[in-house]
Amino acid sequence: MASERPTRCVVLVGGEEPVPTLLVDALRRRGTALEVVRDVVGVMLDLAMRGPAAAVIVVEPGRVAHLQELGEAVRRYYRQTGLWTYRGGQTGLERLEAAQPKPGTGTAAGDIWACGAVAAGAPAADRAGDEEPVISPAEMEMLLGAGPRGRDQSATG
Amino acid sequence: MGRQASAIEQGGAGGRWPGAAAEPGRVVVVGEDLAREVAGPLGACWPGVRVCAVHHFLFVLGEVGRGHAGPGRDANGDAGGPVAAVICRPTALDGLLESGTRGLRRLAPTARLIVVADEHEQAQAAAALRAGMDAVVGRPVDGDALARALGRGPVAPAAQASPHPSDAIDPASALEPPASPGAGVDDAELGDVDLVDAMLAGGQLEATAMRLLRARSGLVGVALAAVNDEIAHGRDAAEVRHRERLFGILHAPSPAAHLCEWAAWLGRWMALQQQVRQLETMAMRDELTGVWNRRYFSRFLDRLLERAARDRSQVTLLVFDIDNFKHYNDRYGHPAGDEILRETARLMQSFVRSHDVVARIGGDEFAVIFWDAEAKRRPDSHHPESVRQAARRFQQAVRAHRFPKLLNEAAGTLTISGGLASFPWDGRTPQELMEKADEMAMQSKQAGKNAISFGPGAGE
Repeated sequence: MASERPTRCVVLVGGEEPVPTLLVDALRRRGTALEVVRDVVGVMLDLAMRGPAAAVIVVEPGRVAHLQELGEAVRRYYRQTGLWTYRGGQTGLERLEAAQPKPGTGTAAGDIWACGAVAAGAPAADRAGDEEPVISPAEMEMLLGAGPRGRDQSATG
Repeated sequence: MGRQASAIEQGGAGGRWPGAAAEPGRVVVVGEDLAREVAGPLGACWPGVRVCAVHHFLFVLGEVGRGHAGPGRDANGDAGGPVAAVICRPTALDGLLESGTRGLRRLAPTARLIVVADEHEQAQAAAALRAGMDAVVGRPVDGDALARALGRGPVAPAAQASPHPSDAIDPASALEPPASPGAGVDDAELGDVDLVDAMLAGGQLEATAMRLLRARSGLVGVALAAVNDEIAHGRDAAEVRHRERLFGILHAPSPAAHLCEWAAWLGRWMALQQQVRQLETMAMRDELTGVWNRRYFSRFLDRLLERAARDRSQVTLLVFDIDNFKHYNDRYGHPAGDEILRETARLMQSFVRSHDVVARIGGDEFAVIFWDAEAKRRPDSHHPESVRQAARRFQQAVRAHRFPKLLNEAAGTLTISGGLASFPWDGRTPQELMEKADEMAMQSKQAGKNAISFGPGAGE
């Protein structure tokens, strides 16, 4: 019988930021294989050397340099890899979407990549202090499924 | 004989140059403007090269990653393939210089990393070299300068492809002044002896042979072009080949008497030179891993230490082996053992500079000669911090590396033990230096393995 390979995620924790144990524990409890990298180059290296991952999760995206370029590179070369963000104190993940600039708005290049929430769980404030997993079931389904799906599918899943 | 110069792919999705030799090489250029700027010079010095223009530096890692075999890497239906060189402007490396260069070295250890810089960008260019880029080419980009940066001569016959791209860069060539066979000889007096000398000097046969050919044939304006170069109208052309191997095109203003005979003559010499190079490669390279073998290592170290004693330059030797290699070999089989050796060699190459010498000197025993081509020792000099760091990073990288044939249970468990010794502090002869490095490696083993020990000269 062929052995089943665990779902693989790459977690990008920028610079000297601490690795968020809540997130890591939540993923590991679900049998997800994790690689923690420290910069955007590390993400590309990991994907090239170990093969595409189910997801790249960017921790504290506001503190990660070259995030937009990373998004473009992952979308281009690893289409099956989903891009997600995680912020401390947040209960769920957010999907990093390639937002389409609205006509006439003159969206700056740096704004093209935006965070779009897909979590179907309760608001963060409602979860604070309880022992629910840090990742909502809908989000885990996204991560553990065959591949990343669109915003609408996960929100209604 | 209509031929074009080169073709530019957009992010790997573009077309290939029709009629190009099979997979002659792929060069990734950051920025479409730069790609347009270098396309002409590239095509001139590297006929048939595929130029892939990408938007930013992380795309380079994506393109290089496509060279690593595996499903799902190709987003555009393009075959990808190994990247032979990366060309970018200093600005493309902003914020990514150290990590990006290091990453490229890991993914494509043999690729040439070239920065194209304006005069006012000297500081950034120097920083790029310090970070591990191979060469800087000034603007406007000159074909000869680009050819030198790529490690290519003026004519690069496609048939001379080597199983190990780094063969073209023999570190030993940097130890001696370049030879100029037949330099003081009048062209009319050149003969076979000069051709043999040129061949033995390495890579200069074409120039000497063409001097001889011009003098003997009486053909005015005769020239040698690369296989895919465009030959102007009004010129006769003949293929320079030997059996199935095509080396170039000999051409001269029409009518050119006996051009075919001279092309055949040149083809024989070039075939002989190619054979000599292949034999040298076989004699000096480790067949399994592609790195230098013990014979080359010993020869190089002998010559290097002679030079180091003469000009007071720094040399450091790292000797290491794979902990419990026999166990892995026995448990997972010889193919797994071979993979460990190949991957270890590849990893090591990605952590050193292109002129440092990585060699396999025994079963699972490797050695690396770190040497500085320019900097000289001062009275207060000691072993460069960068070498210690490189050795440590390599040690950590091996431990973190996944060896697919070892299956998941072995991931992250493979380690190395090694020793560093520096000239002249730890030894003045090759034998003394090797003994000290071996002694340090033994200390690492005795201390529980997974360690690199430093000799007094290399210590902190």
